[in-house]
Amino acid sequence: MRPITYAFVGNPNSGKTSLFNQLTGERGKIGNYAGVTVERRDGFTVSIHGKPIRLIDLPGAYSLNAYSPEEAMLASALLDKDIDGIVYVADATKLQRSLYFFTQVQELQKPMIVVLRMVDVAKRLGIVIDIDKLSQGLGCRVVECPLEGKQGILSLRVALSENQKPTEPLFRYDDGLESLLNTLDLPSRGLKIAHLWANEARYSEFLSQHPQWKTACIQTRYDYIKKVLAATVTRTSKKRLKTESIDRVLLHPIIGLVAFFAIMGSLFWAVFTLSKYPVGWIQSLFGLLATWVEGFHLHSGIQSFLIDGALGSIGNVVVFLPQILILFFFLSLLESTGYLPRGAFLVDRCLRIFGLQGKAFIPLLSCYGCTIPGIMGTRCMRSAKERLATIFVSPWLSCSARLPVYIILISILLPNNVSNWTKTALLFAIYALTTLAALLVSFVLRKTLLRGQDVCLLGELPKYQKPPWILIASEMWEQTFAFLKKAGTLILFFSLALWGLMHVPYHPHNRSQNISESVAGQVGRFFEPALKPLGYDWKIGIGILSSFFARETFISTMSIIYGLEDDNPASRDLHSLMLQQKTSVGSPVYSIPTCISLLLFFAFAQQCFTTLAVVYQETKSLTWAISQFLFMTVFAYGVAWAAQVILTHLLHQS
Amino acid sequence: MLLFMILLSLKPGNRARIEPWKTVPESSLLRCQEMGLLPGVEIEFIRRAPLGSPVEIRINDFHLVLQEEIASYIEVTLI
Repeated sequence: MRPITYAFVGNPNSGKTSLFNQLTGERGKIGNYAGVTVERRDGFTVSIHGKPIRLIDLPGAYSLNAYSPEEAMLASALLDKDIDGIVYVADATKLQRSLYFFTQVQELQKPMIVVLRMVDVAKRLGIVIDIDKLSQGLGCRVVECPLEGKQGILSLRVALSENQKPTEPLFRYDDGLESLLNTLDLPSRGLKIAHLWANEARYSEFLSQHPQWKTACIQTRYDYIKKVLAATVTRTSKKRLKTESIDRVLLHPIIGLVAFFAIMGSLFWAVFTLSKYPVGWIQSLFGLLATWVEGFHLHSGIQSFLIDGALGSIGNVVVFLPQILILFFFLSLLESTGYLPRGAFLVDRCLRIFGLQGKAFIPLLSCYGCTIPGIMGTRCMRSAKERLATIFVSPWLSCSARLPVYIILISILLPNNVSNWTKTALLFAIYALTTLAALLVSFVLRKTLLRGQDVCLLGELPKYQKPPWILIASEMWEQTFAFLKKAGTLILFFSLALWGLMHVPYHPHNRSQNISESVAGQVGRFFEPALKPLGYDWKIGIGILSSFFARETFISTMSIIYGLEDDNPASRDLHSLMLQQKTSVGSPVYSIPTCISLLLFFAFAQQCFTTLAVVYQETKSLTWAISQFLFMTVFAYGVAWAAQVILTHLLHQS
Repeated sequence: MLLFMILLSLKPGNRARIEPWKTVPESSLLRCQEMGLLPGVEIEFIRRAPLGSPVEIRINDFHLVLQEEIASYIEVTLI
């Protein structure tokens, strides 16, 4: 028999996902802003009688009327026949707003349970709620569920185990609307209203008599909520939330902006500086492993396969794990505490210059971690054109896979004695440059292909929350696992295959000669003419070709090539290997123009095929996905070429 | 004394009551109304963003961010 199924719905920030996690024992991502649950998630819990109950977590929304793709998804999921009942999660500190959406969901006439979250916070603010009267007024079971303690979860489990009756209509709309609703043949009031809302033009006679019927509907619902709340809620004090005092500082005209730049700046500083120590540990660990393998005195081919092919390539990629983790730590800290909507509030004006709105800030910021969740995050945007523009430029907000490439190139570009501050500043400059370029492209798009009227921005500033350290830790762990898995499977496999291709055809002697003659070398040399204008030799060519597989692969590929060439490298650290490389005339391969040109190429090229697929999936347009890919890669080539030519010229003159 | 004005011209700390208002497109109006911006509702003006727009108001115990354009459509009476 199919288990009974309950859907979790509520406003964004209502504590819906954390409740779902507590019940199912899952670790879904919690963020303190709209749009965290972009897909529905399924989970199971058991009733007090030991029967399984299926739970579905749906995205948060303010209304059943869809204004964005995300809300459209929610509405269609709720109307699914599979759903036997609804758990409506409401925030006790702002009941009136929370219950508006309830009145709509209630009209679907399914069994319902209302869960009151933040009751403890509400008590502190002096909000006293009579649960029994509220339950009468809402016509369904109401369960209190504070953030802390297990009592609330238990009573919710009890309520889920009981047989809840389908809800009855709570109030009547005006007579004209009611009589029209009676003529419609649909199974619930909610469906009838939704149908009418979307197809009002078909009922011209009704529409002409009631031109403002939608506003009247909204008014009727709010009036009913007010009536219920007047009888159930008393306020014993006028205390305000702590959030308001924090915002007085963080949204202050001057301090607020300073704080914003300080927060963003420290993110980049931490990525560079704090990671120094763990990076050192990882390097020595891989050094020890290589010495250990050498201790077996294996056949030179096998030893090279293990040391250059496997350890060297993986080691040089894994070294960047600390940087990536620090970046994700900062992003999830900002996300879970509730700072992101404030960031959106602060930068809205700037983004509007470029045809975007504050809403675009959050998806764009997550692109610095990874472009994929960033693109998915655009589903909360209401304007289709603005959303397309955001998706189009999102790959230019440097994702964390580029970070290893940036860091190694910057450390070659700047001598060792240069302070960390300068390196951080250069890294920041790359991010600033690409972000600005992305905004400019969006500006051009919104003035040409994607011209269109803006729709109004409406957003909520949620309460600040203490960082949920356990969830942040588990997010870190997931990132570590995903990264190590990628390094240990995809990148390792690719590196070993590449190592193999560099040894076919096999010549046991004169290894350096044989790389350029090998299959991989021939492919590299075949593409060399195309990359020559950028100042890259065929070795870098192989690196760039392999970076289309995954950007970090550039690092592992270069370590294999240089490691193989050098029969007895003093160090397998890619940084020193790269510094040693000389051209045929004896000048360093990684000259200033080449380093900068490579930096720009990686910053602007769209090399990620997963992104290509996700853009196609989200825009439903192959043209957009492919033109984005071509535009960015051609642009990257052009900029890298220009940088090489101009810088060579300038340096030659001086 | 009753004072008609637009929401945008309120000062931080001002409390006001919303008057009947209209804007285009209709979807924006309905969205605002669904968030509670209905005639007769009391609001408190909290602040403008440091760069001038958008504006933050307090309505029905929560904090709402509104874009300048919408805020310039909404008529209010000071209380």
